Amino acid sequence: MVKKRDRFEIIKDILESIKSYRNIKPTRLLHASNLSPQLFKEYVRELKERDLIIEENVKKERHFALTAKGISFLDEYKTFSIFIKSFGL
Amino acid sequence: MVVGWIVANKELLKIIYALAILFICTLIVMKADRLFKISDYQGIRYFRNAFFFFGLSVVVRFILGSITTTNPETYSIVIRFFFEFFTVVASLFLLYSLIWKKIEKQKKHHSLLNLSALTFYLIALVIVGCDWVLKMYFVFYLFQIILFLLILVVAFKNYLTLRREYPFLKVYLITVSAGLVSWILDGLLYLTGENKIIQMIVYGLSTIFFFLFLKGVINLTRNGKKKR
Repeated sequence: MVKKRDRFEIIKDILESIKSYRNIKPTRLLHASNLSPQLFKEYVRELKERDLIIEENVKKERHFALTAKGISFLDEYKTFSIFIKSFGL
Repeated sequence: MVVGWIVANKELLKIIYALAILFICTLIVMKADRLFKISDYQGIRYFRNAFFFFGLSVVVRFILGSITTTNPETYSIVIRFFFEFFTVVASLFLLYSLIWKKIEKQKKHHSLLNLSALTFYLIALVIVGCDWVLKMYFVFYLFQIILFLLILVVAFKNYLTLRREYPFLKVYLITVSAGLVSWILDGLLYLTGENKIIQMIVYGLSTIFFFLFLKGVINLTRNGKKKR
C-alpha cells in the first residue's frame, strides 16, 4: 500500500517539481503534484503566501518558479525532516 | 570533601548552573527558530516555545531569585509565582509539540498569542493559583510529574514506532526520563525537607535533561554534513 503523504512531504514534492522544470506551467505542476485541483489551489496559495514560490508571466503564459526561500526550504528539507521525526514533532 | 565544597559554594554554583541552562535554552531556541522560519512547521514552533519558557523559568528562579530585596517574603512569592507559571507553560508546550498533529486543524499565525498558548497560560494560572490558595507547592510538583509522565508515554510510543530509522528517539526517551525523575525527586524534597545529596542529584538530572536536548538539536541541525 502506498503511504499517504503528509503536508510537509506534499510541499516538498511541489517545490521539487518546480525545481526540476525551473519554470513550470500550472497544469503541468498540478499533474506532477498528484493532488486534486482544489487541494492544489490551496497549496499553491499557501506556498505563495509563504514566499516559497512566485508566479510569473513568461511569453504571456503563467509559470511558477522557486524563490530564494523555496530553494533554501528544499536544501534544508532533509535536515528538518530528520529533526521533526527524531524529536517526534 | 567534594560535597562539603559544593555545600559551601552553593549559591555560586546555583548561578553557574542557571547560566549554563540559560545558555543551553538560548541555543536550542535560536536553532529551532531558524528551522521554524524556513519550514513553518508548527511542531518546531511548539518545541522552540517550550525551551523559551524553560529559559524564562530559570532566569526567574535562579537569577532574579538570587537578588536580595527589602521585602524578601513578598519577593519570594512573586518569584515562585513566575517560576511555576513559566515552568508549567514550558512543559505544556513540550507535550503539545508531540501531540499537536492530532489536535490542530488550522494553522496558528502567532506563536505566543493563539488559542493553544492562551489555554496553556490559563492552565498554568490555575496551577499557580491552587498553590497560592493552599499555601503549598504540591499541586505544581504533582502537575509537573503528570505532564512528564504523559511526555514519556508519547515519547515511548514514538520510540516503538520509529526507533530503527531515528535512533535519537532513544536519547529523547532517556532525556525525558531524566526530567521525570528530577521532578519526582524535587517533589519529594519539597515534602521531606532539605537533603543536599538529593538536591545535587536533581540539579544533575536537570542538567542532563537540557544538555541531551541541546546535543540532539546540534547534531540534527548540522545540515547533513555528518552521519547522524
